[in-house]
Amino acid sequence: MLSGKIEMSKYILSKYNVFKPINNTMVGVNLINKVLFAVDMEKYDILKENEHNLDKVKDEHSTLFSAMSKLGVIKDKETDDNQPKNLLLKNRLIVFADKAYKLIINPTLNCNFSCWYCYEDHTKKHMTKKYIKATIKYIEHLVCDQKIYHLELGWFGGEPLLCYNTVMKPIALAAKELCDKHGVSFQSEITTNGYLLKPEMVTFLKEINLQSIQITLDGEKELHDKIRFNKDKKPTYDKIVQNISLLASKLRPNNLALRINFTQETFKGIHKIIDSFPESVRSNITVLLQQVWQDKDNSKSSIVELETTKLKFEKAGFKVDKNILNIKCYSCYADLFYQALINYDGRVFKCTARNFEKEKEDGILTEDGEIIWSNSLSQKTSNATFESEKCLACKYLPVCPGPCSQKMSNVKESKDIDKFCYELGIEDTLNYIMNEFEKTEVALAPLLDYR
Amino acid sequence: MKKTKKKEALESILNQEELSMLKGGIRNVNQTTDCNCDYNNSTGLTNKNTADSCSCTCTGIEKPGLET
Repeated sequence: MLSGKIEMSKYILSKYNVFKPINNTMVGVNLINKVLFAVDMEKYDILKENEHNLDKVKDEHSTLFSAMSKLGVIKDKETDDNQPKNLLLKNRLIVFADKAYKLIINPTLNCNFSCWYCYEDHTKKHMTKKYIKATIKYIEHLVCDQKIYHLELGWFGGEPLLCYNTVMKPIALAAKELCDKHGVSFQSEITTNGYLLKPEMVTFLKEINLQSIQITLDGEKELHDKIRFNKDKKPTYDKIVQNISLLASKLRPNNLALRINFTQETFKGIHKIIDSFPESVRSNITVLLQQVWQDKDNSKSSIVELETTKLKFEKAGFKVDKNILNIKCYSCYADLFYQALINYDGRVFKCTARNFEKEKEDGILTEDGEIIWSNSLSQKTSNATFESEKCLACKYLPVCPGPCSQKMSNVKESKDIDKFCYELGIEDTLNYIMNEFEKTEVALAPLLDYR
Repeated sequence: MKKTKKKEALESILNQEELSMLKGGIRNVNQTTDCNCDYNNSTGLTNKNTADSCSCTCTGIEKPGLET
């Protein structure tokens, strides 16, 4: 060793630690390891006082040192500094290496409802035989040439069940046949308002392995019926609830999501929805709460309000979404390379959460069943959504893959990212999780399963 | 049942000694039968008898705090 040079400890307190003092306890989590724990303040002080000389902790408090190392709180500096690259690698592998294809189809943008917040233009046009044929050819190309190992065929719209016989049946059956023939696993999913479902459809839905369904209610019965009515202005709540229960008891898919849209005004009565469902079907339904985005501009609901309401549903026997932080390492399925949405008119998109106007188009499906992608595909997928100076330096990176690729396509200069940054929401969520964890008095808990 | 197993798996990350560094890692138990005072559910270093009028001592520990 050179004389006069001070050797720095190779250990550091990880940049990805989050600590929160609650009474006399310090609750902590390392966001890479994702295990919640709590220590007495004096133990936390030992760590903090020796932050720049953790070898001393290793020598004098060896058990504390080994516990904190195993929980990821103490890391060697090189490993900690390399985390953004590890997360980038993981993201690239998920985005490009996983050849499970998610193909979504808009058979029409027409809808039997006219909800005030819908961003779509409900034209009455629907997919014609020309594009049905082209879509099946594209699926054949995926299965035979691209050698995908799994096809998830999604139905979106508009209301896809308006085209149940004319578009959905021929494409889904052909896709299933192709997948079966070539040893590719196949499943279907649908986002529907649920009104047009009928008991006699269940056999077909089983045949196409429908495993993921999302149906929306707009609050308790009275409020829902004011917002979601059909073209004859008739109420729809009872029919939708009846159909969800039908699916929960007869189809029993892996994921039957009851999405409850709300505004600040309608939030209070949401729990009244619970009693609309018989107890026997509740465990087959997963409740998702979603504030209508136009309402978020006014005032966003707090994590405490949301989670408290979710708990009411959980106690009543429903499943609830527990992924209140994103640990998947990518933002949205639309960020994945092996994903596309084919619109009824052959135009191709990545994102399903925007209207399907010309400017947002990402490609075109030809009659030969080939997608000609525009430049936007490479703009959206060539970089990870968190591949910016701000995100790569952020301590919340392990639980936030940045804005989705659609939002990132609007980022022209680095300061534009600030308006999409989730930092404050993540702080709120972590605060909530740590408070709830502390109440349980258990030694350790997974970050997303803290109760 | 599933949840308890998950917690047990998590607790196996740390050995008994390491778990004793955490709050809730080791539960102290009052084994004096004629006194029902409580002990803080915390580590050995900070475990205190919360009943001022009682002088009984903690005489044992139980397994790490699994969910009950």
